[in-house]
Formats: sequence, C-alpha cells, structure tokens
Amino acid sequence: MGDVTPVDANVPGALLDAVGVTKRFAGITALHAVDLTVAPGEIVGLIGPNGAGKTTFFNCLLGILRPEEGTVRFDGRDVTGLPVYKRARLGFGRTFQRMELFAGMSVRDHFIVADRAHRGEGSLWRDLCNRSQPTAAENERADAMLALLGLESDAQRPAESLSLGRGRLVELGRALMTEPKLLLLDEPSSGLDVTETGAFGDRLLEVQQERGFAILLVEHDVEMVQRLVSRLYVLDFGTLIASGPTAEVFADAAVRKAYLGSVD
Amino acid sequence: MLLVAVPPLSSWVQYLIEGFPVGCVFGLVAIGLVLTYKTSGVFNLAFGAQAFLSAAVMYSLDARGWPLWLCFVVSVVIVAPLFGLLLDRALFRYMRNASWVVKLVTSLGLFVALPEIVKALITGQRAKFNAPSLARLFGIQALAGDDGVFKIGSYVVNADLATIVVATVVVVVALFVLFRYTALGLRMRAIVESFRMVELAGVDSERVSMAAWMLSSFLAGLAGVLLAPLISVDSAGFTLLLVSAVAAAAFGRLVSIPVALAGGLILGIGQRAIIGFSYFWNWPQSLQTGVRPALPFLALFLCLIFLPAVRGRREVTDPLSGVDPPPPAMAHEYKDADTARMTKRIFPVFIALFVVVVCFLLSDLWVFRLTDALTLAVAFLSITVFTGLGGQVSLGQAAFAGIGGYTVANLATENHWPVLLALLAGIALAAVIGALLAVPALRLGGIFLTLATLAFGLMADNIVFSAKSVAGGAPGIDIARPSFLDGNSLFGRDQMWFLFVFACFGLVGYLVIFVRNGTTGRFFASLRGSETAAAAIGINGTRQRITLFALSAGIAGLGGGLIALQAGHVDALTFPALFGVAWIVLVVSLGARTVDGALNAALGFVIFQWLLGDYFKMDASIALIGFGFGAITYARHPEGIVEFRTRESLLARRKAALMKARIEQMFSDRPMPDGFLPTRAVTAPVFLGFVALLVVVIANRIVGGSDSVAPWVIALCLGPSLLYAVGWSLVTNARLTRESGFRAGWAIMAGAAVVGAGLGWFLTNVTVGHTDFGDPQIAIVAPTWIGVVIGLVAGYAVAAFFVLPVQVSSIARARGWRTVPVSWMDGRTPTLWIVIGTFLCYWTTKGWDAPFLWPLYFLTFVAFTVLVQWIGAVQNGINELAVGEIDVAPGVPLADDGLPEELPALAGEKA
Ligand SMILES: Nc1ncnc2c1ncn2[C@@H]1O[C@H](COP(=O)(O)OP(=O)(O)O)[C@@H](O)[C@H]1O
Ligand SMILES: [Mg+2]
Repeated sequence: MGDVTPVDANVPGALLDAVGVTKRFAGITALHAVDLTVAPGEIVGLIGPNGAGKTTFFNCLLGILRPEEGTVRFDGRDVTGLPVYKRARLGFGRTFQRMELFAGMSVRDHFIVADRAHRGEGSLWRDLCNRSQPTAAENERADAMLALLGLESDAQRPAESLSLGRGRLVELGRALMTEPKLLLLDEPSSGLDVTETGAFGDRLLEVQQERGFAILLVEHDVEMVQRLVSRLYVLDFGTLIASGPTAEVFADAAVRKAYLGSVD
Repeated sequence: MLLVAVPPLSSWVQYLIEGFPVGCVFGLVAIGLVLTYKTSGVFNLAFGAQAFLSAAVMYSLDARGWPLWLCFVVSVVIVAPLFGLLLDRALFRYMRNASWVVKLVTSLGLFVALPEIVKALITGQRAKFNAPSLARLFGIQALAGDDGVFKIGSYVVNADLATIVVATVVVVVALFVLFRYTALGLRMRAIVESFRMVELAGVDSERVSMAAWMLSSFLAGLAGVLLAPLISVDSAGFTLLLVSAVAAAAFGRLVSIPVALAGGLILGIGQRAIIGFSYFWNWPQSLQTGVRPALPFLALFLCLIFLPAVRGRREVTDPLSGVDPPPPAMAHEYKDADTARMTKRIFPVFIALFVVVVCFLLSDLWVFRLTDALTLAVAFLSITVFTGLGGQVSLGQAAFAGIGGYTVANLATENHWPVLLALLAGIALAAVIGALLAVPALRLGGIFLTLATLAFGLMADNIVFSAKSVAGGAPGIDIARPSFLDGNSLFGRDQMWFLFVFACFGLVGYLVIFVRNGTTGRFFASLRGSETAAAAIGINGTRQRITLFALSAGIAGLGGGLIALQAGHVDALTFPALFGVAWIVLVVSLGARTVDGALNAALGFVIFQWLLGDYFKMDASIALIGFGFGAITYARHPEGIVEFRTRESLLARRKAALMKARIEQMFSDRPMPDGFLPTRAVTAPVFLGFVALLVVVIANRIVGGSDSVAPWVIALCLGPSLLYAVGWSLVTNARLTRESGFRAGWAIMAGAAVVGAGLGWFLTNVTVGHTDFGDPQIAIVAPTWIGVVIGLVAGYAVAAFFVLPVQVSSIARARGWRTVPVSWMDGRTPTLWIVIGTFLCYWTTKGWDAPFLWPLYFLTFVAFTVLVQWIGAVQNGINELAVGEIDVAPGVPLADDGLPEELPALAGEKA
C-alpha cells in the first residue's frame, strides 16, 4: 500500500458507494474487496494496468456481473441485487471499452432510443396505433445532443459507418440522453489519436460543467486523467493499491511501479 | 403408489442393453455435429438427412442385388464423405465469415431439400423400406447363436444391436487414434478447442474443416445405415435421429466431443428406460403412445432449458464469426423524396386495381389460390417479426399457427362459438403460449434458441396436434367460414372471403410496419445490436423478448386460423412441424425484414406448388427442393432477394438522377459525347411490340369475346420488336468492340446462335417417349423452321445478354474505374426468362386450358419488361462510359432532391 489517504467506506452523502466488491472467475480473483466512492458532481479516476479488473469493476457496478461479495449503494439505496436496466434507470450511464453501438441504427435513432428508454414513454400499444413517431420534444432533445457533441453532420449515418472517434461520441451521447447522475467511462480515448482525445475531453468537460453529473473515468491517457480528474483510485491485480488526489497518487512510488512500470 | 414401485434390476439391465446401441448411433451423429460446428461454424441440421441419404443408397443398391459389402462401401465410405466434401467445397466454404443465421438457414435448406431429392432420385416417393441388416457383413451374425441373437446370461441382444455397438467401438477407437496420434487429428482437435488460437498459429484451417466435413458426414452415413434396420427407413425417422443427436451435442455445449458421445449414450438408454417405465407403471395408453415419439424432442428441450452450460450463452455463439455483421440498411432508406412521394400516391390506386382485378376478372380458382397465398403470408409475417425485427430464428412458427388453427376449429365447430371470436381466441392462446415459451428460453440465444423452438415445434406436432381431442382424429374437423362473408349480389362467396383475408393481411402488415418503426421495433434493434448496451440505457430485455415471442406467436396464430378457415378443414396433418422449417427457409431467403418479403414468399410457395402439382403432375413436395436451394442464395443476400432487388433498382434510379444532373451541368452548351443515346429512346421500340400485343388481346376480348389470339398475330406484334432488339445489340456490340478489343464476343454469340438453332431443329423433330402422356410424340409440335429461327434468336440472345455487359465492364475496368456500370450478372435474369419461355412453349403444346392464357400474357409482359430493363441497363452503362464514372455507394448523403451534396468529378477533370 502506498502512503496515501486510506479509503473510507460508507461516506455519508456519497452518490456511489461500493464496499468490499469481490469478483472471482474460475480460479482467479479479478476484484478483491474493492471500496470506492464517488460524490455527486465529482470526477473520479480509476486507473491500473491492463487486466487489473477495471472493466470487471464497472460490470459489477452496473450489474452486468454479480460480485461474490460486497455491496453497491447508489444515491442512498442498495442496488446490489438490481438488474442492469433498473440501475440504468436510477441514473447510471455507461460507455464501453469495446464499443457497443447498435449496428444498423442511425446516430439520431441512438439518441431517440436512449431518450425513450430513459423516459419509459413508448409502449407496444402506442406502436400499434402508429403513434410512436418521435415527438417534437424528443427531436429537440436529440438535436440538442447532436449539436452539443458536434455530430449533426453524421446524424443520419448508420453507427457502424462512423470513425472510432465519432463512435465514442455517439456512445457518450447515448449515455447522456438518459440523464445519468453518474457516468462510467471505460477508456474513452483508446483507439483515438491525440487531437481526437483532446476534443473528446473538451466536449466531456463542457457537458459535465453544464449538467453537473458525476463521472467515474477509466483511462490510460495520463494527460486526460490529469486534466479531468480530481481524485484517483489505482487498481492492480484486482486490489486497490492507492487512492487520493490526482497529483499525490501520481507521485506515489507504488503506483509508478505498478502503473507506469518504472520507479525512476 | 404407482410411482413408488421400481422395476426389478433385470429390467434395468434390459433397458441398458437395448438403449445403449441406439445411444451409440445418437453419439456418432452428435460427434459429427460438434466437429463441423467447431471447425466450420456450421451447425449442420442436415446430418439427419445425410444419414437418410446413405441408408437410401445402401438400400437401393442392396435391392439391385449388389453384394452387401459393396453396398456398405459405396454408401458409407464413398457417398457419405463425398457428399460432405461437396457441401464444404460448394457451399459452406463461402460462408466462413457469414453470420450464424446464414449458415443455419443454408443447412435448413438442405434439411428440407435433401430428403426430397433422395426420394425423387433414389427411393421413389414410397419412402419407407426395410434396410438390409449389417450383422451379416461384419461376421457378427455368424457369432450369434442359432436363433440369430446373442444371449448374455438371460438377456437377449439381437445381432443388429450388437453390430451397432461393435461398429461404434471401432469408430471411437479410430477417432481416438486419429485425434491423439495423427497430425490432421491433432489440428482438428486444436481447432475444436480453440479456433482463434489455431488461426493465429497458422494452421491451414481450410484443409482441416474440409476433413472435418468428410469425417462427420461419414459418421452420419454410418449412423444412417446402422440405424436403418431398427427403424422403418423414412425421412421422418432420421429427423428424430437428428433431434436426439442435437440434444446429445447440447450436453457438451456443442463443443465437447467426448461429452457429446456420452450425451448420446445417456439419451439412448434414458429413452429406452422411460418407455420401459411407462409399461411397468402402466401409464394410460395415450401417454404411453405419446411419450415414445416425443422423447427426443423433450430431451432436447429440457437439455437446452436446464443445462447450466447452455443457459446464459446469450452472447454470440458461433465460434467463428466475431460479431454479426450489421444488416444492410433497409432498401426504402435509399428512396429519394420523389420516389417516396410517387409510391405513396400510386399505392392506393394499385391496391384498388388489384382488388377489382381479383374480384371481377379472375376465375374462382385463381381467387382461391391468391387467398391461399394471403393466409400463408399472414403466418409468414410472424417470421418477419421474429427474425426480421427480433434477429432470432424460430423453427416453431408452424406450431403457433397450429395453435391458432386448432383453436378456431374446436371453438367454432365443436363449441359453436362465432368464428371471429374463435379466431381472436386462437390469436390470444397462441400469444400466451408464445409468451410462456419465452420465459424458459429467456437465457438462450442464437442457435440454442433456434434448437429450442425446433424441439417445441416437434413436440407440439407429435404430442398435441396428433391428439384426437385437438385435431379430431382421422376425420379431422370441418370449419365453416363466418356467415357475414356469405357473398352478396356484388361479390361471390370466395371473393368476400378473399376481401376479408386481404384486409387481415393488410392490417397485420401495417401493424408490423408500425411496430418496426415504433418504440418496440427500435428496442428490438437495440437489443439485436448489443444487449448490454441496451440494458445500460434502461431497456428491459426480458420484457422485450416476451413481447417479441407473444407478438410473433399471435400473428402466427391468426395466420393459422385463416389457413384453417381457408381450407375449411383441419386434421392432424394440417400444420406439420416440417412446415415451420420450410417457412423460415422461404421467408428468410426472400426477405425477412419487409412485409413484401413475406408476401412474395407466400405467393411463390403457393404458385410454385400449384404449378408443380396441377400442371406438371409432380409431387408437390418437390417444391421443397426449390425452396431449399432458395435458402442457399440467402448467403449472398442476407437481407433477402426482394430487399436486394428493391435496393438495386433504387440505386439505379439514383444513378439515373445523377446522370441527368451531370448532363445538365456539363453538356448544356456543348454536344453530347460520342456513344451517348437517351435510354428511353433506345428501349421504347421494344416495348411498343408488347403494347401492340396487349391492345390486340384486349380488343379481341372485348370484340371477339375470346382470349386466344392466332400465333401469326402474336408474331406480327412481337416480331419487329425482337428484330429491333437483335439489331440494336449487333450495332452496339460492334461499337463496343472497337474500344474493348474483345473480339471473342462475336464468336461467342455466333456459336450460341448455331447451338440454339440446332436445339430448335432437334426439339421440333425428335420424338420423345413420354410415359405420362401415352405414346411417344414430337417434343415441341411446331414446324421445323420456326424451331430453328426461335432457337437461333434465343441462342444469340443468351450470349448477347452476357457479352454486352462484359464489354462495358471491361472498358470501365481498363479505364481504372472503381465501379462497373453494368456487370455480366445483369445477364442472368433475361436468360432465366428465355429458359422459362422455352419451358412454357414446351408445355403449351401439351394443351393448356384457356384460363391459363392470361397468366401466359402476363409472363410475356414480365419477360418483355426484363428485356427492356436489360437493354436499358446496357445503354445506361454505355452512357456512363460516355459521361464519366458515377459512383453511387450507399451511404453517400443525399440532398432533398435525391442528389448527393457534391457531384463526383468527371474522369477527365481529375486527370
Ligand atoms: N468473463 C470473464 N471470464 C473470465 N475471466 C475474466 C472475464 N472477464 C474478465 N476476466 C479476467 O479478469 C481480469 C480483469 O479483466 P478486466 O476487468 O477486463 O481488466 P481491465 O479492464 O482492467 O483491463 C483479467 O485477468 C481477465 O482475464
Ligand atoms: Mg478494461
């Protein structure tokens, strides 16, 4: 353990409070009693070498995987047993390390679908009465999101025809359409070049400042982390080895060894 | 007290001894399933049919008095692996990277077609026969006691069963040696264990999968001839074999060979034991007879639902393809605003015209057939929902149709409900059962879900639909149509019924479109794209899936109810499970994502069957062969043929608009470039000939009151047009040859003309014995000179269909264009019509009845349209050569007037 502030569990007023999350896959322990909190509106980083368990941790938070031990509290309630879609409705938003776009669907439709799913407005009955065309309000919200992310020119293009950078923006937009309280971003800059990464960071900050949601960011790009994140957790082999304010953590020797692979 | 008593140990041993050999056979096929699945990604549901093939070959050779060992060698050692080789080389090789649906549907096509081919070519329609026992062959008979059976203590094993065990042991030992000690076997095992690793290690997976196909087909063939003496050999028996083998393979999650073998043994013994129990516990007769055929399906269903290894495998299961390639955009999305407006305006007129023509012009027989097709089309729409919107493949749709059909029959006829109410009840019941089926199938995805629906369909067919209380036993149940459709002064009875069914189809069709464009359709599309991401935005996948099942089952229920009412009768054979398989093959190959895909599939099915059955006096099940092969085209156009064609024609329109814009832009102030001719001016004279014929025919109908027109009149109308077309093609070829230098074109066309003329002479002179029609007669009854002339023109035309596009595309390629303006493939459709035309000529000489003249005129119309389109396509290509390449890749954004935002530059400008 580095000599950084110890993690305190059950922080009152925390938006997300994960306590002792443990996940095992046949034989290996991918997560070992991980504690992590995120306050409302805060941007928190989670870093660690490949295979450290970051994605697995995200999957446990969202309910895609069920942890063997530990609890996840969100917004004051225990969500450990809830299915993914219910957690999403409570205010989790998420992007994926390996992009998960809806192939064949246009960018605009991605946003409309997310909006509908979030508001729970559509129903089969309305479909059958042919009353399911996007409403003016929905169109407006989708247009606003397209404008916010600078995706107007690609609005009608099928998602799979977009470049990686644009695709990541679509994932971000889709998550934002559900008005999340906490956004989980899994390596949003992987596969992007420097300018694209910069642009992505700019957009993200802009939206976050406007809407004030919290972010839990998994990211390898040190520059991006330093720019966005105020507090940082470091995961190595499924165990938290450090946490604290960004600058302090980066200065930590153990972190440098595990994460940057050198102690110079 | 029934359940407490347990059979004595001796019975258990008996079950074991008798069930074990059958289990061996299941295991053999299951090994083959796993092998091919893992090495080529194809879950080959046709292995049952391949087993049937080998058994049939064996039988027919034996019946001809060949020595038994030779029969065995030919059917199992030669035919079976060669067939596997053929499948791999000719079909599945091209599908390595295709999605699992493509591979599955192709194997389903074989599943449907192969037994029919075997019946047509080898066994004849009398599909049951007794296969020779193999016990003699391996000398096992000789080892048996005097009464031909083995005795182990007090237990009796007949020689056939003993043969199976011996053969299986030999094969398993051989497989063990193969996998353990030979290079090929090691590679094969490596691929079965991890395909990707092996790819990375650079093993030639092509050769391995070829070998795997041969090996597993051999196993299927062996299983076929081993099993044949035990069951009466018919294709249904081998479907059961397949289902059991699939269940056995499911034990091993479709990936473990030893577990698959063990699964086969367990199933074989288990099935025998359950039958034994049913006697021992003295189950009611109906249960006793019902449980036996149902066991394989029940086993498969339970395996899929309860095996933890299979459950939860919702993710992509095809070991080879990573992620399903996204479906291509729907054709209608390529429509420009003009076309969309036009379609919208013309559509109601078209519908009204259609109704008028059907109700007032067509004979009752045609009305009946069209109604037939429409009832089927409603059922097919359930596939549009399940596969087209939901992205899943269900083989159980016939079962849901059956639920609807039998509910209507029972409620309306037996319980005297109003028919419409009974119909609604049928829909509701089917939807509820669909929703209930969704619950256990929730965690299943991809191929596992498909297999579960197959099991469900077969169970419904074999257990429920055969029950007397459901389908009314042997006499069946008659159903009367609703009385308000009785017909009136304006519309006859059949016409009223047609209108009703048409309205139902229209209603459901619109509902399907609404759902597709609505929230539910979008949610389905999201789940298809990524279940995880869909859940992460708050979509409840479970609920959507239940909706999908219920919606699709409800539509199938309505379709089934209509089918029952259309026939006026149901019995146990009205909704066979095999239909469910044939339907999916049909709909998916024509277009599972659109309403017109379903409609086309239904029309094709009905018309094809009727043509074959009524006109060509062939067994209607032959149609299944055609549909089976139709599925194979699916690999090339996964969106379905109808969708593919629609998109092509819309792209052609867009190209034409671009061409027009470019001409206005570039050539408003200078002369048109060399070789450019307005396409319409070129094609008009061809169409004029047909218009002339149409006028004559209609006038003849009105004035003369007759449908038939003298041949010379037809020749006078169409002749000049055809001559013009020939002349145009000659001139055009001459001009194109100048640039392309492709002189062989002339030789090809001349050669084809000579061959055609020769064929014409031959067909008008040669006598053929036609057993169906009595005495030998002239093949085509017409003067020789007519035969020669028509043959000459047709031969020339077929060659020209291909030569001209090749000329154009080779010029384009020589210029370094990225796209070709027209390709040789455009020659296939007109050629097809020449073939159809010749066939029709042949059959018209057998004397068709007058009502058929109208369809004949219609076919002439279609043929001329095709010809005009072909000439137009070639001329468009030539025009494009003149004005420069126009690239209409899908996805180029379009402005409102259908033009892309920027025109592609002219070839000359770039240079
Ligand atoms: N579904 C799974 N089954 C088995 N092991 C898994 C699974 N998912 C992840 N793992 C393992 O868990 C560990 C953590 O993986 P992951 O969370 O993807 O790491 P990261 O995102 O930090 O790079 C890795 O060793 C990985 O191999
Ligand atoms: Mg990761």
